[in-house]
This record gives sequence, structure tokens and C-alpha cells, in this order.
Amino acid sequence: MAEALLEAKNVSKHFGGVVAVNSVSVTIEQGSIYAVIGPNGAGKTTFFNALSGFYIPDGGQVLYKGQDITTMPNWQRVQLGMSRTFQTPSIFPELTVYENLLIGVQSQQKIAFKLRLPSAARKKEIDARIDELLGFVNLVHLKDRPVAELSHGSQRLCEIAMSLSVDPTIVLLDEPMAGLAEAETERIMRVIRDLHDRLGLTVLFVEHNMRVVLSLADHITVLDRGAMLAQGTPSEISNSQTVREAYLGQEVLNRV
Amino acid sequence: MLSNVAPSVFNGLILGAFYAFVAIGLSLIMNLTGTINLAHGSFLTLAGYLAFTLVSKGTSFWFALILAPLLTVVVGVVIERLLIVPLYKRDPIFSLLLTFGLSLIAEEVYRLIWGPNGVPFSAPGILGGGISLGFMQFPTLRLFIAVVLAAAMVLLALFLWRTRFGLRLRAAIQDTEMISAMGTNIQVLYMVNFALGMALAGLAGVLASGLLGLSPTMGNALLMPAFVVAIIGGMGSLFGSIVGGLLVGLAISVTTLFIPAANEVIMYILMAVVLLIRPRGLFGTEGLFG
Repeated sequence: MAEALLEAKNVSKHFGGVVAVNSVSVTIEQGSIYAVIGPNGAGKTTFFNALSGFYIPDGGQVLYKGQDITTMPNWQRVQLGMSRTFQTPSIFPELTVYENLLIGVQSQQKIAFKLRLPSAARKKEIDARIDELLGFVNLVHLKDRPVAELSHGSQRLCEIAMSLSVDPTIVLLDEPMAGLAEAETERIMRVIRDLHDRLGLTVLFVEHNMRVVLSLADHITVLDRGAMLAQGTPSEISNSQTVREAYLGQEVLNRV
Repeated sequence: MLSNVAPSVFNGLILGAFYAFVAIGLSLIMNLTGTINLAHGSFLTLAGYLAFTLVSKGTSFWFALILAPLLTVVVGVVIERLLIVPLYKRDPIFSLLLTFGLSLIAEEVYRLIWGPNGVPFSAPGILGGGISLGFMQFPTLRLFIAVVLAAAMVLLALFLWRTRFGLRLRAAIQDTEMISAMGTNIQVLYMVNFALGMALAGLAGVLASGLLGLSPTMGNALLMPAFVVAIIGGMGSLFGSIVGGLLVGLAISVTTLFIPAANEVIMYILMAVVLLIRPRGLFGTEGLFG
């Protein structure tokens, strides 16, 4: 069994009287593609935010490589090797694709807050890294365009490249396929698979489309109204009676 | 005619440069944190008084020109960390009320310490005379102020567009969550950004003291025109603030020359006209990205 990279132990989060996440535990092993799935309002994004440090859970623990990071600020988690994307592409629209990536690439050089301009050699290194990242998501040709001018799908890819720019060990993707057309969904799915197969990264993603989840993930947690409904491999999930009854229509399963 | 108009135009441009300076400080803070800093003028006044006290204690004007803005930055950052930071996550009305309260308190404190009337604060002798431009005599002090303000704006632009810290600041204005997700401590950005605004206010404060007269209300008198300038230039646009400031300064000086009674209302007329033609200001981009 591979080493546990990111763990949630009985994580809970409520907003006022509403329990958004109720004692959810997951163990994400190094090198896996892990999916959290559930209908709208199931608490997927809240759980995701608790893992990435954008919310501090009200109960439970978050561990990264065994270290308790439950209350660690989100920006410090990035330095540990966790990076994330957002449900609505969070990019810097007025900056160019190049500049968007520059921010992350620079943050990996421990001199991020120095004010001097990079030397020519340094700049060459940075540019090479940015080209490599853009090559990975196939956006090299859009390098000097402001991100605002890109299509929705390309913005997503840019955001994924940004999440890679900080040299992560695990990438957390919040509904990476949300609002995309079929062809673009395929494109993102290929990139997610490449994150795992070519770059050797661990991936956690949140998604509501069962077909996508079953074909990509090796482990799945199903959330419903804040609670864990089921957990297991794709075959276990698609055969689970509980999941069938609560979440899936028989028709969806037949198509898979 | 030229001998009449030319000095007015120059003076108008310098006044406009002050407006632009204050407007840029306001915009920097507002863009990143949503805080409308109504105490901005108070910090400007504070820098003037600090410089006045330093000079009257025997320090040189040049030293005070550097030290007073730095002290203003320190005071400003302490106030930001203690009082304004807790309000960043709340509705902007809270920080607006807080800074409004601070400006009222500051004005009274200045009155208590330095007296209700203006205090004489003049630049050193070397800046006293005038420089002949051929067709007119131009006061050295005003020329000096123009050069310092222009140099400071160039430095600020270099900082924002040529350093990695500047890139982060520009990015954070567009998405504070994503800048954290890229591993940057947003609180450091907030603090440096506020300090930057204070430095601009401080520098403007010392320079304005010699020109506009140092009194408890000096900074607040610049605040309203600065808002008008920021709106004309387009909220959030640095370049817009500069252009807007120079336009307003010019309009005021020319109006003073021909219709003195209208010299206060002219900037509002200018603002109305600009907003009618371009609702987001001359160089504003707000609304473009939702």
C-alpha cells in the first residue's frame, strides 16, 4: 500500500446552523487520482476548501505526510507541495498567460520578495520553465495574450498550468470541468490523466459528473448532504446499492 | 497674454500633480482591499507636521523630506494592522466609517498639538528664488516639487511593472484568493501596499506644506479633488489618475484666470462630462471583467 499523502480525519464544517460537511474522512495515497463526487450542495467544495486551507474546519484534522496542517494558512500549504484551482477559473484576467505563470514560477525561487530584476540567466531559466508548463497544457501559442481573451476551456488549462507552476506534489482541482462543452471536457480529462501518468503527481478533484469520475479516478468518495455516502474504487462505487439509490439514476449506470 | 496664462498653467499642473498623487494612494489601497481610506488626507497632514517639527528641532529640510514620510508609513502601517485589517473581510462601509472617524480624531489632535491655525513652514533658501524660463520667471520651489512628484511616479510605475513584488500586487488586485493559492501571504501584500500609499501621502504632505500652507485641514482639502480625479481617470488606473489630476489642475487654474467664481465647481463639471461620455472614467477598466 502506498504512503498516505493527504488525509482528512472526521473533518466537519458548519456555517451557522447549517452543517456543510459532517465528519468526512479520506485518505489520499501518493500517486493516486482521487475524486470527490456528489450532487450540488453535497459539501464538496466546502470539504475541498477545508483541505486546501481556505476554511479552517470546526472539527477533525487535516494531515499532509503525517503532519497536522489543520490550521495552517493556505499560502504555506503551497510551499509544502499542495496547489489548487477554483471552480470558477481564478486567473489574473488582465495579465498575459506568461505573467500569470510567472507569479507561480517566481514563488518557487526563494527570493520571491526581493526587488531586484532577474539576471539574464535566471530569466532564461524562468522562461524555459514557463514554456515547459505551457507545452504541457498546449497553450504555448497564447503565451502573450491577456488571459481574459482566452476561451473558457483555455482559461481552465491556464489555471491548471498555474497550479503546476508552484511545483506541487498534489494538485487539488475544484470542478475542473464545470461549465465546459463536451470537447473541452475531453481535453481537460486528458490533461488530468497526464498530470498523473506523465508528471507523476497525485491528483484530487471534485466533480459532479459520474461518467468523468468513474473513468478517471482510482479512488472515489461520494458525498451527500455533507456526509460520506460511500467510498471505494470505481467498480465498488458503481456497484454500490446505496450510491445507486441515493445518487445515481439506473440509466446513468447503464451508460457507463 | 502668454505671460499671464503660462504661469497659471504651470501652477495648475503642479496642483494637479498633487491631486494625482493623493488619488493614486487612494486607488492603490482601494483596489486591493476595497477600503476607501478617508483618513488619507490626515496622513498627508501628519507628514507635513512631522517635517515641520523636525525642521524646527534643527534637522535639515532634506532630511525631513525623507524622514517624515517614513515616519508616516510607520504610523500608517501600525494603524492598518491594528484597526483596518480586521475590517478587510467585512463590507467596505465599515472601513469607510473607521477611517472617517480617524480623520476627525486626527484633525483635532493636530489642532491640540500644533494649534488651530496654519504654521509657517518654508523650504530652504536654495529653493527660494526663481528660474528664468525666458518668457517667464518660474519659482524654483514649484519646479522642485514637480520634479520630485514626477520622479516618485516613475519609481512607483517601475516598482509595479518591473519587479516581481509589483507583479504580485497587480495580480492580487484581480484575485486575492488565487494569489494565496499561488503561495503568497496576502497579508504581506496588504501591508506593503498600504505602506506604499502612506509613502505617497507622506511625500505629498511635506511638499504641499511649503506650497499650500500647513494647517490641520491641509490634507483633507486635497481629498475631495483626489476622489474626483480618481473617478475622472477611471478607478484603479494609475495612468488615469495622473491624466485626471493634470486635467483637473489645468481646468482649475484656467478657470481661476477667466471666471474666478467657477474655479471650485469646474472639476465637478469636468467629472460629469467625462462620466457622461465614458461611465467608467478615462482609463478605467472596471466592469470589463465582471
